[in-house]
Amino acid sequence: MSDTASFAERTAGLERLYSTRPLIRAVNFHNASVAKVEQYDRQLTQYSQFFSSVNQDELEEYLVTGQWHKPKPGLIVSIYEGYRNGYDVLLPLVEKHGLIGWFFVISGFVNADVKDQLSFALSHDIDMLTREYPDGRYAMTWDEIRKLDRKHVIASHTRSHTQLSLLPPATMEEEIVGAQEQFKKHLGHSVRAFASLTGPAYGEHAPTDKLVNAAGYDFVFSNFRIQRIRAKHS
Amino acid sequence: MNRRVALVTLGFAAFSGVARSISRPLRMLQSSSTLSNKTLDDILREDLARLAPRVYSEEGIPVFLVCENLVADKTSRAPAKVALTPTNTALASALHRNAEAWQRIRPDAQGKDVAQLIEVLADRDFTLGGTVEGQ
Repeated sequence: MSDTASFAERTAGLERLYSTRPLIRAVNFHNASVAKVEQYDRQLTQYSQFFSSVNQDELEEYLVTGQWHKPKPGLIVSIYEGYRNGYDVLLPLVEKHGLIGWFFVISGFVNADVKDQLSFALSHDIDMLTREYPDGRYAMTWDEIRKLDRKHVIASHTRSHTQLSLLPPATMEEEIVGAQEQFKKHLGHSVRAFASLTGPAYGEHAPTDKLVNAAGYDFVFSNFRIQRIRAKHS
Repeated sequence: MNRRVALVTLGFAAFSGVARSISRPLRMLQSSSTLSNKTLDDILREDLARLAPRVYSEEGIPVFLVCENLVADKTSRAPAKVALTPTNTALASALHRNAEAWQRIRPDAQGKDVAQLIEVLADRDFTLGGTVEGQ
């Protein structure tokens, strides 16, 4: 499904995929305002009644076999960008309801000096509609991400949240491979899942595919798909 | 949108507690096919209006994701042999009917609108607590 596909072409393509591939539910969070904590709590309360957590091994098994082995359908709770409020606001709720958070972190946002984080966000399509931290730190710290890494999933959301297909090769490498290097440095291991701003899905942009392979990611998340592109530890 | 209309529009199983069955979603799917175009269009308009005020970046947005295994290793089965569930049929059908409705009420539909349509379908499904046995 290319960027230029028409509405009819895209829906027809998705209809074929829905008819022939396993499906999984996900809920996408971004800038989790503390003012909406009760709303998020209600939402996750409902979801946890009906859906089960999903970790990386469970996702991999499901991708391979199409079989889901928990009594309730799986739900991937995706928390994007690496906002500090993902840690402060959403994490306690995710854990309260027995779910697993998939934290898609923009490494450059986390690496930015606190005084520069707001301007980094504003110049990298990171929404800052609500700004609730007077100290100016809007991104998680690597210490917080290491704590998340013990029970939840840390994933790469590129280095600086730019549209990959528009970048020159060297910059694209920094976004994909360079981000993975940051996770290795700060977590002590590579991360398995990768998502970029607006995709592309694996197979839609060859230069991106090549770098995703080089970085050693196992899963590619895009707007409509999760693709397993590499076996674990291969 | 009331619960009954949501069920038939999505074409998914009725949800009651944690009980699920295969026969019930099929009945609901059949009944959904009897809805008139006007009813489908009205429900879609209503849902779009209800969801429009969402502040996308500050809310949890439900979606469906297609799972694809692109790795050919000895533990993998070819995608065509992967077991599918009633969800596949129901969601594909719901997408088809609601895509037609979308194009009736928004003749200038563009490719980028598909994401919003999927969000409508997912919102209905999540609101009902998931609706089909298995995944």
